[in-house]
Amino acid sequence: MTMRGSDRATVALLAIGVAGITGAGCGAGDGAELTGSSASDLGSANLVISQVYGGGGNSGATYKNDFVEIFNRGASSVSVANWSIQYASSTGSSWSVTDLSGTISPGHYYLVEEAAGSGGTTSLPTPDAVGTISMSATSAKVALVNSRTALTCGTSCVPSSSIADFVGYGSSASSFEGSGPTATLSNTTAALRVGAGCTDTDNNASDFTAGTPSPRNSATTPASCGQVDAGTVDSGRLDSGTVDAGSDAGAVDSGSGVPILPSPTLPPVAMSTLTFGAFGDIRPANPNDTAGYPDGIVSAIFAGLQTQGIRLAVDAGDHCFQSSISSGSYCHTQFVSHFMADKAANYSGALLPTMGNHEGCGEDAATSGNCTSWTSGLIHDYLVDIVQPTTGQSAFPYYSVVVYGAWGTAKFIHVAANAWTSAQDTWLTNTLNVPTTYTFAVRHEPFNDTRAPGVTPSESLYESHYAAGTLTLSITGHNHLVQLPGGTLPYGDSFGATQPYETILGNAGAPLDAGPYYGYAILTRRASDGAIVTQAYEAVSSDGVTSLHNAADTSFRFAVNANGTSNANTTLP
Amino acid sequence: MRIAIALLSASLVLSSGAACTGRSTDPDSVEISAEAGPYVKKLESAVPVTDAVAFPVEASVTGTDPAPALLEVPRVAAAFEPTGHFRVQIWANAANTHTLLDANGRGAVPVNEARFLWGAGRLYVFFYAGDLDLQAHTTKHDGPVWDDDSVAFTFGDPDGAKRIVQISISGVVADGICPADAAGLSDTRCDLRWESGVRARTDFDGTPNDIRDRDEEWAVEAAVPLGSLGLGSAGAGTRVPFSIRRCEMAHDGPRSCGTWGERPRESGVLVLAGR
Repeated sequence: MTMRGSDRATVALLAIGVAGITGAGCGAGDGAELTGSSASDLGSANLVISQVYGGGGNSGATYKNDFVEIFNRGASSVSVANWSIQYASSTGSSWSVTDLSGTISPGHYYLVEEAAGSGGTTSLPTPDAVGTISMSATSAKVALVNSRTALTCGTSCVPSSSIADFVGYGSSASSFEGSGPTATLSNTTAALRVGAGCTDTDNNASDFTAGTPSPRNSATTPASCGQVDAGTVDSGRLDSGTVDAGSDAGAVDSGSGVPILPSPTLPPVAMSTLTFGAFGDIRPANPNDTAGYPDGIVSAIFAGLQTQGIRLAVDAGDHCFQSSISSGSYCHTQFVSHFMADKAANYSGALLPTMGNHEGCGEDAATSGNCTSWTSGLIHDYLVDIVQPTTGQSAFPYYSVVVYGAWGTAKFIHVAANAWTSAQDTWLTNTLNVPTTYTFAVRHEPFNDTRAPGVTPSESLYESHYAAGTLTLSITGHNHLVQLPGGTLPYGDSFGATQPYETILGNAGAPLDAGPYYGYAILTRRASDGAIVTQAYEAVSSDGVTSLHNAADTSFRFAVNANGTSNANTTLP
Repeated sequence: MRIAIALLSASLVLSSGAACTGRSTDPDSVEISAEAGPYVKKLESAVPVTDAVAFPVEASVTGTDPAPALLEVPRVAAAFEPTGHFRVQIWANAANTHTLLDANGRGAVPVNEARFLWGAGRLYVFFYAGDLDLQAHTTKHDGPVWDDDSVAFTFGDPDGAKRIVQISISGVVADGICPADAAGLSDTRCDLRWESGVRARTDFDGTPNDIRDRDEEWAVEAAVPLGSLGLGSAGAGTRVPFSIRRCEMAHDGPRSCGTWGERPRESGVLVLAGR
């Protein structure tokens, strides 16, 4: 599937405002693909057929019924009222129609049950729509259509304004997307869209593999494609051809040369130069005190990033403060009406947030709290109110993204130490193992705050990768100050060492613990030697009155090499 | 009796019906009665008294004296007990010092702020302090809480004797009456026999006396009986000379201090509002 004409226009507009960040091929950095390379004009950019199985009820089959599975790989719900799934034989032009209804939420699947056979042992999961089409087990055509009017095509069915997605399966299919149909199927194999349904390059031959049928319905745990919604995130359109969260994570995408990170990961982002902002800890002093939210400081930080031309920023978490001993939706209000509103009013670039302990679980969102489920509570609000609008996914509090350009590749790994699970541990292990030129790990708590459940296990991984030269820098917050790698506070004070690869940037509005100002940092790759130079900037002085906007504080500046070692040359790029 | 009243006015300048901002010119200012007898008695025993220190607050804001820092303190309808936890329904509209200032007049770091309410015969205070390094060793009442992370509330005219209530992060209270030039309760001239009757609860996030993991913050919520301050008949418009000081105590010794209403920069006054 490719984008609609209207989507292409939107993305093109975004590209104008996003100098340096594009969805272009590796190293291009010219925004060429932001205008899209649509081969079809499809009904929805985000609904795809994610699985086709015609062997149901046949000899040797497990499932009793044929089925077609739909997946919403986008960031917004899509109504399928008056839509249909249509089927034609491999060479035919007579189409059978199964009506659809309802809405498919982001990351959710939708199961369309078709005819049963005499065999099979297992019923499908509860279908979301039911039809009576008897599908070929080996080769045929299936279309997701935004109307209930039967198609009439036999060949060259796509592009079509009414077809949202199209799958020609089996070698004899007379129409398909891209270079060819999927592999020929059987009574025991289905066509499975790779990347858990996320991958869509408009090529049936490469977007699907033949595998064991695994029907998923609307009740199935949602999946994250990490797709950034071009309408809400202005980091540029992310080339869907490079997105692959499937089992080949760790490989290099053949189309772009960009490393593929394990899911959950966002689509890669192209940047002509590697430069990004960083800040952390944005909350009022007291719980529930929304009136005390540091809007002035947060706005000044976002305005500073904007003024300096920053188009990508990371934050280290703690966007709100709500007490567990009182009811109410204080964090929700602080997320939406303060943090995100301050961002919208002052900064048009992309933001990659990190979960802090104040978005977590436990009494008063304590540092020791841990969320192993994130379907309710503060973490749910955080995912919906901040993560969703900034990254396009709300299924995971941890995620990664690859940034790439002619200068190389960098991966940003956002660890959620207060939502620590074995799955996150595995994800982090695998993500760190994918080679990139630079690796930036962003986590809320510094290494020595081991109360947070994810700090010790993630720090162990950091240490080994730093020793191996595969960790560039750990960016943290939690302490409301700025601190250089190795532990030096830049103002003649010290509370003990940090790791040599760790910097603390926690002075973004929460009450200062040390240091004279609130602000942020900008990290820039120096072209001459590839070092990353970090420079902190003041947004607002500690008295909250004087503002030395963007004045460089030369006492806080350091440089590291790609392998994490210190670089004595701190000359700004 | 008149001498005693004059002394009282030196330390707890009182007036009623005053405007809530600016200097009071209310001709109906009244002096408190000698109901504050116990306080006066201790004051006499602890502090050398001269006529020079007896003057109303109006006099203290003239000439080269620092400008008054006034906070209008809202009145609460009913008494409440401190919990140490910030309750937004109670404290959202309280008088607020905002960030205390350091010796250079900049926002003190770690950041502190205090909020005030009054009513039912009490002055209520909610104090917040950022702190990477919680320190608390004193466990006994009137012990050296000034060596711990703590906050000091000082009542009284800065040129007269003053009553100090100091509360540590552990909730340990030291209170006493000190001469005007005393830096705090650690001054041996202070009389720690005075009891403020303060009720205080604290809350903190961190591990006291352990720097291996950094801490975050602490808070004190306190209710000070106005009667113990000689303000038993305080009402709307009563002006209470007041200052607040918090000095960060770290594992390797004291660090910076933040203050509000403290000379020589300013002369703090809490003005009790009618509602």
